[in-house]
Amino acid sequence: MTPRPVVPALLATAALAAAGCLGAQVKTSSLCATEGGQVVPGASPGGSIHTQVTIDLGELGSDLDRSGVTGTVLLHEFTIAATDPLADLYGVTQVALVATTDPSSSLPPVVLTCSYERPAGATPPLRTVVADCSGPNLFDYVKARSLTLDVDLAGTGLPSVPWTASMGACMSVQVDVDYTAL
Amino acid sequence: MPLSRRAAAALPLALAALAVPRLPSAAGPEAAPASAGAAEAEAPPVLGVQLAFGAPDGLVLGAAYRPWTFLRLNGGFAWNALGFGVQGGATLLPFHFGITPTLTGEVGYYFPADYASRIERWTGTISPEVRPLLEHIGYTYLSTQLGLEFGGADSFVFFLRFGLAWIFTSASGPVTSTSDSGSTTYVLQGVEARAAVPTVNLGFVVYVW
Repeated sequence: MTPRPVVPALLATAALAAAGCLGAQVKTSSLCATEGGQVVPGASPGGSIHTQVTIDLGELGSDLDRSGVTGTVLLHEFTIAATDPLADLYGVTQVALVATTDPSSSLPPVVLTCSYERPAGATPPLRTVVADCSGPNLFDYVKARSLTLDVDLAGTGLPSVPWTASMGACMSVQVDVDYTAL
Repeated sequence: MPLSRRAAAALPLALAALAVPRLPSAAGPEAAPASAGAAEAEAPPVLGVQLAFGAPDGLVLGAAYRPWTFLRLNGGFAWNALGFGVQGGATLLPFHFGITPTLTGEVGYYFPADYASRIERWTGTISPEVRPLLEHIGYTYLSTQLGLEFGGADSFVFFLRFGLAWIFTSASGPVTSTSDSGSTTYVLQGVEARAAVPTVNLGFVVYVW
């Protein structure tokens, strides 16, 4: 399932329930999208890794890009999980995210504040890094049909050669539909 | 009697009224003073049976209790073809005439049920991505309605109401699926929805006691 069936289905449910009336609100505490098969470059000489992932949110963007539809999309968690058995993320100490969208868009890049602490008791090799994040409303970025995250990993002993990973973002989503404005 | 005590007594009293015919006094009606008999004859009935149909209420069968002529309380059991629920409400009747304007407030709750299976009977298979969200779902609603009542205020009234309702529902999930390309995995959980919708309601009250 892309959000194509789910979120629009919720919107459709709300629309059916609210047809011809004032409005509806649908929200989810967690919509997680994980992109698999991402190739991450090796660490730079300075020890950091920079990569990028575009979150495929299916038709969600076009569903939200309608008059009378407003909302809030807050990214609250970012996960990077190495699928390459040789990649060890034990040395990661910091995760930084910048949200962007289609280059043709006028929306400026948005810096998300992320915090990461290596799990207590973790031993190398560590395959998964989960960072708690916060930042401004990304509704317009999702509405622009493309949400790209610039990812920076900092630390010591990071993989020096390209490796593969899955990267995912979890977001809370709230959509308000004003049927009088549709 | 305070209103709250009267209201609390309404439902069982009304149900009892359905099952038990009104009894004459122990001494027999012929022994009662004429004035008392006249007073009883003038006292308006306070208990009744109400049947109503509407959205988002569904079909509601319950009891009506009228502590005062200007106020009627109702409570009953509801069915919306997908599940069962309960409903309660109050109706203000500023005066009684052949046609009486009313102001009604209601609250209802539909118990969580497997809506997916029931909907599939009508529409065919539901998308497997959406189905888990409908497998254990109910809703709560509040409504306020303006209406008109027709008929005898102490015997049978038919009502028609329009208004606004607020519906609240939630589904826990989680729902897991993948994109068409197979490269993206989605997990959705903790869905809540609410809507302000127009409501319409029609039904009748038969006073029985």
